[in-house]
Amino acid sequence: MAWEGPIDQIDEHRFQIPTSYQSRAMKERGVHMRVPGLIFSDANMLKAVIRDNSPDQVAHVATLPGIVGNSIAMPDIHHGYGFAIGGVAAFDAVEGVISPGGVGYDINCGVRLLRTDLSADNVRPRIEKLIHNLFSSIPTGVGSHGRMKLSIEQVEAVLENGSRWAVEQGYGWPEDIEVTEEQGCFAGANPSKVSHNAKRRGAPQLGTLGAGNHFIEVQEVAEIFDKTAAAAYGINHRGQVLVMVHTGSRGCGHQICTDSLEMMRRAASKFDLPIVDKELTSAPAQSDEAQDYFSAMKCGANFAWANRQLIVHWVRESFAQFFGDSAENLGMHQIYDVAHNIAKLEEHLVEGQMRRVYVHRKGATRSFGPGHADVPEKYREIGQPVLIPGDMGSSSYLLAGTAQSMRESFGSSCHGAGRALSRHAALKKIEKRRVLQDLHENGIYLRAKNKRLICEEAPGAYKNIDDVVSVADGSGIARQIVRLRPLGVIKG
Amino acid sequence: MASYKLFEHTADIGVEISAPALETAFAFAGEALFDLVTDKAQIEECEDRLIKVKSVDIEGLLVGFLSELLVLFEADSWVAGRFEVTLVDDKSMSVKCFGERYDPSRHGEGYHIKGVSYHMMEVQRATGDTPARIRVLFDI
Repeated sequence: MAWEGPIDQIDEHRFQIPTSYQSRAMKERGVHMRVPGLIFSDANMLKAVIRDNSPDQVAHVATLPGIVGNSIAMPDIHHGYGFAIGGVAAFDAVEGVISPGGVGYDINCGVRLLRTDLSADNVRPRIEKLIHNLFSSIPTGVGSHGRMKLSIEQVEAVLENGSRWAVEQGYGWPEDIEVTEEQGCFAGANPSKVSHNAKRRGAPQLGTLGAGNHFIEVQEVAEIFDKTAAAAYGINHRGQVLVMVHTGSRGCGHQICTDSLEMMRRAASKFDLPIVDKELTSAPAQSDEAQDYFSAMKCGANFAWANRQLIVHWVRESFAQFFGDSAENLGMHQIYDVAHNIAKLEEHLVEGQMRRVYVHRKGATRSFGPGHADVPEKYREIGQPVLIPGDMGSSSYLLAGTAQSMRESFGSSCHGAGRALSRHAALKKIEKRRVLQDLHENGIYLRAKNKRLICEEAPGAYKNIDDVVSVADGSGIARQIVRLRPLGVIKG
Repeated sequence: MASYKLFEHTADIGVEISAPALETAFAFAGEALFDLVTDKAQIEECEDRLIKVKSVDIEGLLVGFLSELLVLFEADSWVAGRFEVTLVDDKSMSVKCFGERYDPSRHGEGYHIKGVSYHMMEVQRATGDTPARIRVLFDI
């Protein structure tokens, strides 16, 4: 069912859903949009957004109590559960709500990017063996178990300390912490707020990639848009080799979300919030339930940071073994690590006043601009690195956060390409042989544990990432710095 | 004949089930989950496990039941091919699950289900000639 409500064009990249809109569900519940919807898109991409009916979800989010500014949709928006994927919403810290659906099941699904001093010319001829090497080192796939078997007590230490736990155990370098969002350890994570089931699901899965759209890619720099900014981020020339890891909190985070939705549903009659959609289940921000979820969510986020820390450690080990030199000598420093499914308590300027708000980013990436204290010092003049993973076989991007994003989108930007075809449709329409041929012709080597993913995750199943990034850059909520293209891909 | 039908949704996978009674539909939903994450046809009934679920309503029971199956799979490496469901009422159920230890070489690997969603969910008891119906989306 396509969107039939009003969308007013503000400019080339901004479209508004007026507060006058009221869906049937909103009418039945007697609720109205408290703020407008703001969609970052362009005339061409908007057609898919309308077909998908994701503006309906943007409008429903705008009905939640305490929402501040706009209910925001990023250029990669597509229909999700309650909140659309590619949605950003900020709620007043006192009057507003916290909603697990505004974060998603895969808490802190995110991206980490490593630089190297290697060049594509040296790596490309050996990419097949390098990818096989990586594939052997890092567990992938459904139900996969990690290289470590954690006790529940160890899981609790991971939930509380995130990347710090990993570095203390000898995984990764201390400097990685400084270039990870939240320094890889979200303060206030209380493992007692996480269920035994979530810890049990997490215990065998730390240090595993998972499946679906998660990947490890060996990439080369294809295009540099801003040489100064790129150099500040550690990127100096076209053909420079980087490694990108895209994964999240695995079964642990997923269970935390499931448990939290159940907890909030049980408490729903206590709060009597005007919720138009079950997946928008929320609790008042100051309630025990909301704070318990927030603390459990931080635990899930820490699990994901520890997970990416371990995987990157093994990536460095694999490279060192393969190239016969230490990861330090290969220059394998971490550029940055971002979360794109998360909620944060932040301060933002709204209509001239500093407000404390719970910013929910679901399929959206923090994009803090130059000068912000939370941007690592060495990047502070440029702005926060924003890592945008492409789907299998297409470009990824490194952007920089901007002052514009602070003004308009609570310091947020897009997270990737967003699906255009359902998995089922992708399997029907996309031919595996063709995908493999295209990858081969483009010099990209793929190692996928589950062959069905070859079609489900093919570029044709996703929106065009170049278009998504072009809107982000054109609207000013992020700035293109580098485009990356894959040399080799590992999928679960 | 399969006990469930797949339906399309952009990022995820949905199943639709029709059965003479709601308890059977719940059992088929469990079978659908394991058929999506593995090859259910390869699962043998070597052991059984009892799980109990409580929630605020029937939809919550379905989410709770299927989520428990994900815990069995991921935390215990255990898979089930058949279920005997007892719905005590709309807020409480027990399920006897028949299965065995997960063996990837025999059971294979399917989708990675992250969670069970309320989105587009339908849980309807049988009335008169109309069969019981379940529709549920899995977050992939």
